[in-house]
Amino acid sequence: MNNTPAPSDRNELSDDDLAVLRAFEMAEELAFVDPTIAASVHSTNPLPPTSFVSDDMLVLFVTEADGEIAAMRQALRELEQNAPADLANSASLQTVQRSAHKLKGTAGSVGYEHISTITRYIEILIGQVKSGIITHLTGLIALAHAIQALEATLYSVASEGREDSNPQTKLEEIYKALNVELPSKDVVGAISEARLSTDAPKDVVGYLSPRQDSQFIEPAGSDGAGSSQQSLHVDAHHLEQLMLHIEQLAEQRTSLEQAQEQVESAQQELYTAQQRLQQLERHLSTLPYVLKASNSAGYDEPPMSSLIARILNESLRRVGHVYRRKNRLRPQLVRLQEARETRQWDELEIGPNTSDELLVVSLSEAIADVTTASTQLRTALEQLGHTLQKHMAQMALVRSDARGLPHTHDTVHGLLIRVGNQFVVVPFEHVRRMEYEKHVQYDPLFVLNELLGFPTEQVVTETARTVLILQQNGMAVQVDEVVGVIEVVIKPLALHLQRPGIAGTAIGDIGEGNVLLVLNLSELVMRMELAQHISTKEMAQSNRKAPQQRRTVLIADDSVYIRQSVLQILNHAGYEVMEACDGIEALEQLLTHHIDALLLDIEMPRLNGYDLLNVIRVNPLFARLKVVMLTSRSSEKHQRHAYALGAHGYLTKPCPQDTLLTTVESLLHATE
Amino acid sequence: MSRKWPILLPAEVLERLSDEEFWSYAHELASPTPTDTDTEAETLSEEYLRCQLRSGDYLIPLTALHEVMLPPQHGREAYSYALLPAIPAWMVGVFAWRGETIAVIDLDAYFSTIVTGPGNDPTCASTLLIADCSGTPIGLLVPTIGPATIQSEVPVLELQAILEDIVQQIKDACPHE
Repeated sequence: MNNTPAPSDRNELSDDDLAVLRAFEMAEELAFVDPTIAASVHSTNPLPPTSFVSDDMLVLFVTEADGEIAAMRQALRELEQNAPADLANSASLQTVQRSAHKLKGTAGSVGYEHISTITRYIEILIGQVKSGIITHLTGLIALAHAIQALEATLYSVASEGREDSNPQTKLEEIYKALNVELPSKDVVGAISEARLSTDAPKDVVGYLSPRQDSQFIEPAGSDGAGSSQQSLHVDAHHLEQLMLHIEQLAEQRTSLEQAQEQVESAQQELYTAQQRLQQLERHLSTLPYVLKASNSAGYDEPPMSSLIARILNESLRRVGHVYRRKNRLRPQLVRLQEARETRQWDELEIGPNTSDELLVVSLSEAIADVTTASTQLRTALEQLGHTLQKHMAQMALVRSDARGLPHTHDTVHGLLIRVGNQFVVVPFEHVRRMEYEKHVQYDPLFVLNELLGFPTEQVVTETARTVLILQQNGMAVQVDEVVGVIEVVIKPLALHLQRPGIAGTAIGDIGEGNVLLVLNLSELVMRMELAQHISTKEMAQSNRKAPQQRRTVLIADDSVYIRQSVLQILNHAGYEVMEACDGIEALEQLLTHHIDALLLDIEMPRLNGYDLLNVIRVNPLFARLKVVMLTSRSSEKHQRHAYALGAHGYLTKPCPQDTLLTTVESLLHATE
Repeated sequence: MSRKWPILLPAEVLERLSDEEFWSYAHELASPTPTDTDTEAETLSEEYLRCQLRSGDYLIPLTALHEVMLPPQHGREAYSYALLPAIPAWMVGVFAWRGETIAVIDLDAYFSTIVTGPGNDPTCASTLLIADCSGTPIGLLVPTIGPATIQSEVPVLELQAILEDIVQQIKDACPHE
């Protein structure tokens, strides 16, 4: 329960104290949207808008989303490991669907569109698996990619405070490669609604992917033997696809090299033309009719007329930003670019007084050469850019294919590393380089013992310190000792032994039956960063102020983010707010406290919203209690059902703040 | 019924067997195929291994065990069992058994408040029992084992339920995973 402290007597405070107090109040106002302002300015925005998400709320969201993603990953692992015959009705798939649905609602409320979209994809994928539109294997691969994209997007939220759109973009590219079709947002909404109701109409399900209806009329999971054959077929196709993509990648290498050669050649031509132009310019500078613009502009060297300056400037403009970025500009060009605003063009500079026609002809040729070379370079750079883009896209496809293949018993080359009295393997592909310099400062520097949660016994010695620089993110990880290199056969861990950041195990040569953990250092670091971020924010969160006694609203929702956002809004609007994470806890709160209004979610563990409504309706103790449903279920069927069970209001998530406040206020006002 | 592997008893246990028990055991080991008749299964199901833990003596049905073996030697270079992040205090690590990575539990610590702790060898453990939990092998370190005879006053461990609890707790020990 939140309470706000009573305002202190400001007359007793000094000017400095008042200034500090005002600063805090301003900071608090920035961290929270005043509901009255929000009602007038952002009346249609869900609560609270992304731009106003405070750190506390961000921590809550990240924590909750991380939990849901982990639950999905765990369930997916179970599916991959156990391969249930009836995948469509398996409990693990239901878990993935439930978590995705919950996360979609929460992300939608906080305004994280990419996370919301990816979770929608997950819901629709499950729908396609259930209806047999895509095979089980394709579905599992697509789900695995979606969960990866969710993790990456959440990581960007946690580390940068905003969503990175790249994971979703890459995910959509992968789905194209997998031939997975995803319907538009409106259709997805209808489908996800239909999926969770027991009487989902066939026509809605069929809308998912009309092109494949004729191939998969019956659910694939209905026939175990057929399912198995199908999986084998898809697996071979997957392998074929991988081989094809690798071949295409190899073919692209030639065009990439050609594009690089073109760029180098064009650069050389441009350089030669510029040299020639410079030479001519020196001749011109000796003639009386040439104005030395460089001198007038305050430059010492090289001597250069405004004509030359203009030509070079033009060539610079043509080559464009790519050329500049590569720092290949000659110093004169850079200075000219900076000074171009100060220089004036005057045709009379070479005017009709030219006496040396040969020089003029040469000058014209040189100008033409520079222009041509600039154009060639620009074209070559564009060509290189296109080729690189294709190459990157092809690489992504190959990586995607490779991830989709079974990866048991892979051979791994890596570093054998000692961590205390333990030995682990870090694959070479995760390490960019090793450093031994003990005076180098790393920010941050992770310690492998801490990343693994192993007893820390080592300290940095005076003589040496071994640090691995990770390939993926350049992070530094300190280890006790690099013993050597090793080649091992990696095996996956049993389900109950699987841990984040542990890719698998191998049998080592050190000691009989000794197991070596094969690490994914990037994942370990990412988890540690996430944990540190959450820990820091939670400390700040613990300094919240105690609230006052006010009219009481109970929010019952299994999403901690939804609870907290509603709590903040109502709290600032003058209500006392209590929370319950499921139906049973809500009932306990109702029985032990005086509650004026209940905001009730439908889908909750232990006791769902409908069941709780039933209990409330038959119990005279709750005769004066106002119940408002706050749910992501938007269909009329749910609304009718809720009202039939005695609900007084029905709001769908994400709900605008003003709507929420107006609804609660009007219901409570009616009881007065 | 899952396949039963031959049970290998350590020398100290063999010494305590009567002649009749010894030859019966030798006959079982010499048998080329696992026992599968009802009579043999019934006979085997009545045989137990006595484990002496700090909290008392218990009987473990032999049918629940794959193998009884000595714990791996404690080398100085490396810890006998590989540690795994986020494991319960009574789990000493993982171990390679027949090419498979299995969890190793200090059964004494599991039953009592004594915490061996990951990374600490339970030096008092003399025997490693490889038990089966629905197809998942699990190593159980026990201090002492006694003769495989039935003693009515010694409680029989509900090993399957215990193993399921162990697996679940190992799984739950890792947050979000």
